[in-house]
Amino acid sequence: MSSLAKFGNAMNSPMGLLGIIIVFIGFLILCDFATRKVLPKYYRGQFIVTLALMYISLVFLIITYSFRKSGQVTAAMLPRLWIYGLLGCCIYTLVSIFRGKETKDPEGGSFKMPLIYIGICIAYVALMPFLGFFIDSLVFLVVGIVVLKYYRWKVIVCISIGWIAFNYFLFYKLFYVSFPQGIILHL
Amino acid sequence: MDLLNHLILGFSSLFGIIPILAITAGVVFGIWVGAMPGLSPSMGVALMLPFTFRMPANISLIMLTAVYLASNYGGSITAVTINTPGTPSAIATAFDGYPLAQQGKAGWGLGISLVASVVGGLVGIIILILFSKPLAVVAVKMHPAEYFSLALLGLTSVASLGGKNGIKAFGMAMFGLLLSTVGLDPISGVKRFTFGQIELFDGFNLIPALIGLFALSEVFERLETKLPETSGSYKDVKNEGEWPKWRDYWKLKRVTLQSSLVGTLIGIFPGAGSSIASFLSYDLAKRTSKTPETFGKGNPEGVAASEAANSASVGGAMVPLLTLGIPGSASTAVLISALMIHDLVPGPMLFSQQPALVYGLFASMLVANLIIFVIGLLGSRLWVKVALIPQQLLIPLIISIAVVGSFAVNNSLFDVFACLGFGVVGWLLKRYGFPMAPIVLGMVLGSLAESSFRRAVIMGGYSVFFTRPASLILILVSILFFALPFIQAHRDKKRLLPKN
Repeated sequence: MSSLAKFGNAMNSPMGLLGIIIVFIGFLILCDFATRKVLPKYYRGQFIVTLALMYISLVFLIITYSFRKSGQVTAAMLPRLWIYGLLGCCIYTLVSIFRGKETKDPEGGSFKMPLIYIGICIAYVALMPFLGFFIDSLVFLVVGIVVLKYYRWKVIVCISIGWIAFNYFLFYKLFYVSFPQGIILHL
Repeated sequence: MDLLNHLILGFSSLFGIIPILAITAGVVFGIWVGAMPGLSPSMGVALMLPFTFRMPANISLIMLTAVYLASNYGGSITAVTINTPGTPSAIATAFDGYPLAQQGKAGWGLGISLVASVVGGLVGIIILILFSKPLAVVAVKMHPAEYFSLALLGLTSVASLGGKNGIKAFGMAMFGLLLSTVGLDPISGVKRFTFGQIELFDGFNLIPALIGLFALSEVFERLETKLPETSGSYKDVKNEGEWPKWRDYWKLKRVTLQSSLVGTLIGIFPGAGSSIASFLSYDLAKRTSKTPETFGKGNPEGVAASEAANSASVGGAMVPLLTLGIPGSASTAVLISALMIHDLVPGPMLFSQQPALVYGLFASMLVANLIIFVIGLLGSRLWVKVALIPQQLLIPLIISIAVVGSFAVNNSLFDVFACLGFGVVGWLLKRYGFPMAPIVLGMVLGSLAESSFRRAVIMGGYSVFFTRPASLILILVSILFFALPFIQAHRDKKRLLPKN
């Protein structure tokens, strides 16, 4: 196995994934700082996204060198074709950005509430094995509605309990979806 | 004459309360299954199957087929109201259906999807009845090279899905195609981009990906701005209940019929699927429209094209099933097991040995479409009310639906995390002008394109794509379809430049 193949093999592992993510975050922060004075503000968003796509493409390209070669059309052939296509588009977009020919970043709102909600969603899913689907979903719905500044408690209770009951009868009883029961119910 | 006699025989077998009840139950269940993200038409048919064991063969089949038909329509309900396609075949419906709902015309989106579904379903069944045998002969001759070329043709619709920025759309399609390669390679068994995660051996599941990319990304985008405090989130609440008039449906006749034909033809080819049918029809409708620039912004033609095609593909998928015993889709594979449970062998002999059963099935499919229309019309008055739910309640509910839908596919929390991940990625990509639709297109077509390409090369080398006439024609059409928007844009640019 060549050194590139070994490197690709190492990246295609759980520790490799962790390393990729850490380097990814560092890479994006570095690029953002490096180009703050060069790029206008209205291009920074798509510049970062394009760089992220290029990074993912290059990581995947290196990993393809670890794929075993067999047959006329190898497992790496089509992934590489898609990677080259994606890289080409990213390079074109970067050149357009630096030449000022790309459309400006669309006007967006604040990151605050989406990030808060993403955090709530991650907590919702992460706690599901412990609280169980039904309790966890009930808590999520109440918290999720209140965070959005809706305080009509009768409606909140009806919606939450109604939705849990709907899921229980339809998905759990009728469709036999095995929702996590949670440690609390087992205790 | 024989055909007419058989059809009369088929319709006569439906006279009675039991067959009509069976069809109605199948339609209601199918619409529910189709509307719920995470539940696919094949899952609906499979879930209904045990209930039909003790029924007579004809009742069993008409009920299961009604589920299959209705679930293809059901996916459009959530696609229009909350931008969460209930089935992959309703993805293209969301492109224009949801913008219609955002403009306060949810009734229009739902009405057009209903009528187009019914018309598409009827056209598909009529073609099935009239041409099933000759079409089956064509279907079975499809070489992997032709499947690859068909997938390539499907990918050309990325040029019309990308809006103004064709390069970004193309890049996103490549990204989607790359994501479709994650998992164990189907031919050599190599672990591709799995990072040691067993859950990734089968790759990313399409349902969580599309729920994340469409529904969750939309939710996160809505959260960027302050939500309105009063109930109802659209400017003109009065229009929620407004429905198209018959003359509005009549204006869509060309695109509906055109898409029905395309959908039926694509559905005939085993493995092609209703998703490809709806994407191709959407793309064709856009190319042949007088106002292509309005697609993606609430053009009723987009909704009609997608829905007519995905419903018509059901009739097409039944062609290889009944005539050759080859399932054209996951749902028809379940139908084959239903036939076998009742000691029936699908194939040419079924037509001669059991004409009452076969033509009774055809008749039931025609009746099922009419029942879909009635139930859809009654139910749509209810679905449209979703648009009036305050955003503060709707957003957590959509997220909960997304979690349930993603989990229900494989009973796996990994899929839920994947859905969330796709939601975040989709939100960021959308925020900076990268379109979502091509990613989904790439994921839908990626595995078909790759497996067909590799099988074709193994069977006949690289030249097989150009030596087989059907494949060559499809490739040339694909190149033309892909290049046309860029040529048109270049011509428009030249025209707008000053003459000197």
